[in-house]
Amino acid sequence: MNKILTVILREFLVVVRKKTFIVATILTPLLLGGIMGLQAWLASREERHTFAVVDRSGLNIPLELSLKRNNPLNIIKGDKPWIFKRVEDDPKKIEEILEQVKEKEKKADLTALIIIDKDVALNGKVEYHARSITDGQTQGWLREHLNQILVQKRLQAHNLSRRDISRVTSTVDMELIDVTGKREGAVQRTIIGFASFFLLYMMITIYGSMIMNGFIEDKSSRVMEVLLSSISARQILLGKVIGIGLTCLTQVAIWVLLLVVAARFKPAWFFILTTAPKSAFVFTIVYFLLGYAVYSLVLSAVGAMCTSTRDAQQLSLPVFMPILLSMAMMPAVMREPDGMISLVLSMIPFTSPIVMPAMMGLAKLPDWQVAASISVLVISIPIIYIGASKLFRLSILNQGRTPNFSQILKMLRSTES
Amino acid sequence: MAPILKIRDLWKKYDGVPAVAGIGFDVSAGSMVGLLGHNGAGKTTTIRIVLDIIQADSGEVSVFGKTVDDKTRNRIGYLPEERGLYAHMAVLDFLLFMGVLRGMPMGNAKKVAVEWLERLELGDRRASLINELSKGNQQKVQLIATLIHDPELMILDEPFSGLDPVNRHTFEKIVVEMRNKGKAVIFSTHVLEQAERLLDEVIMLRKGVAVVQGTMEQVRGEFGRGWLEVRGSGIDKVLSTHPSIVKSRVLNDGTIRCHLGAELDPQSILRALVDSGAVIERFDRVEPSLNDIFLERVGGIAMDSEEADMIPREASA
Repeated sequence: MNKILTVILREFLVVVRKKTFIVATILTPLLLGGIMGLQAWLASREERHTFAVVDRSGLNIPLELSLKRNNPLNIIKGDKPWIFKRVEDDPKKIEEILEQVKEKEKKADLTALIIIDKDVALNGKVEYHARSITDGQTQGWLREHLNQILVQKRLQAHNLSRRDISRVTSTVDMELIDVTGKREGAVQRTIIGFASFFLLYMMITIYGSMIMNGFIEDKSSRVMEVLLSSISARQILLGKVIGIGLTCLTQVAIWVLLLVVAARFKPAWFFILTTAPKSAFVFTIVYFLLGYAVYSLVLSAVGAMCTSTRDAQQLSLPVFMPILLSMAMMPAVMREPDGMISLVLSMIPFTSPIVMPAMMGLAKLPDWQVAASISVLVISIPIIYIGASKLFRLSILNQGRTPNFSQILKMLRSTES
Repeated sequence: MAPILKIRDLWKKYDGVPAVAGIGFDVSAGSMVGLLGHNGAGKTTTIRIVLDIIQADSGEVSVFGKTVDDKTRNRIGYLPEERGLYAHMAVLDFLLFMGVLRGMPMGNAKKVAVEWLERLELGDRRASLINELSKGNQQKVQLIATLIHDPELMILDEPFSGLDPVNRHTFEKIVVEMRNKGKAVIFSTHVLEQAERLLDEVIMLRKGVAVVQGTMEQVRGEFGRGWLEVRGSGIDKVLSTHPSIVKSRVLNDGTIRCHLGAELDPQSILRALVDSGAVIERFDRVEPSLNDIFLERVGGIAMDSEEADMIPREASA
């Protein structure tokens, strides 16, 4: 049997047979599903709010919402409107309500106490008393809602008719149209984009670290020298990278299988899979393979240069920086998927595998950009391999101190192949 | 017959300091060659260069008549000084992995591995994880991993260090058996008594230079005719002035050890001693031991002796 194949097989079997691999493979989708379910449940729960209102303006401001009118902000969803309870302007009563807000009594379940100033028409002053004043979304909607009502009141004071008022205050109705013509896939593409971003980030860091730690272990257990007498350093490097890569693909394959099984029950999210463009899946896989190659090779070299996981954590920090950078840049990328930042990130082999699938989900990138990004990766992998295997070969038996930056450069420049 | 391993003018420097400086030697089938030297003398570096684990700066290494490649690696068995096993692998799985890695078919690897395990009394431990074995048994597994593919060239770096007396004996027996079966064996050691007993040829290294090299007979012959050890009273004057004696040294028990010059024989010294009226308690011709040669040529504190390793402190007190 081929030597590399023997190493690949051993690495694959060692990982796949481990209990932790089996547990992680089964638990991860359950955990992710659980988190998503929990979020959805929390989101649905939060739609309902009850506010106590003290209206000192004497304008009898109509805060109450109804589905038919007075709901331009779409605050009422389904049958869970916001409820506004009017309270007398009595210090004792207000004290009592505030106490209720503070305690969050089950029966009252008040989100906040709203006090409308008596000169609200002039100064626009409204007090919002709540346990949580950081719920920006609820407050934003409320502020907008009050604004519109107040504007209507002010206009009424100028004797405008109801029809004129509604003409004056009618809002813009902006329809969002994707010029690439894939309007119906927008949500799906965003979800697929983010899912692939998350998957790539997770798999590359987890499996990259696994390879790195594997080499540190082989080095500290001294089995490396036994191997080196029967197989070259390059073959060991390739064997491990491919072997661990296969376990990673196996895990993903099992998840896809679970997804297909789950899809038979036609859950609510099923449409995402069926309507998402096929290319999204293909590009996710292509970028995953290329990204894995880049990171696993570099992290192998890091593992070879270190004698303990603690050293490796330090030395691998700069390697993981591009991943953290891509995460930090994600909001900017989302705002402008075809902007300058996105373009730069798509051309760096250490960031493109992680951001590209997400970016391609968010916007239609020009074909040349996709081709260039993949080409850069494909060209840089052999270069990274040459450098990584040089560092690997020169330092795999070194049991001393972790080399510093200038020593690493020296090794990279050395003529030993 | 062409040598199995041929090394010519090998050089390797680390940061300008030579670790190996112009070493050259051959190892033929059925012979056992020893590399002797202190730590840092260049033994392990030489071995690693032979195995192509590190690259020499210059020089020539050929194994089976060519440079080391994937195929030739399959014909070499290597036992590194730092022993290493996959701790979480089952014994038999590890041996199969090592066998297949050296090009053995799976079935054959299994047959040979089981035979070796039986022979070394590990037959019932084949499914155990390696880290469940005692240190002595792990050493046996390591040795089987070195031999499983029946290599024609065996390279053993300190093969007997860290072994208990029983395993040391077993290892020695197996290594000699391999040599007698026509394998070429090269090992580094610092146990000189053992080296003396086992080796056909010896290479003593000092700071990367081969200071002594040749067959046992050659080395002894080159070193000189040995010593004269004399004990008694009134012998000092004669011994310190006799022209046959190059230099002399007083040992712990009062014995005087004399190095003889090349041309004169001990007979004349004995006669001179008797004539001077000295009382002689002991008069011995001593052949130089490997240890003596090592001390003389390589210097420093001699290597540990095998016996010293084995005798507990209480017994010698």
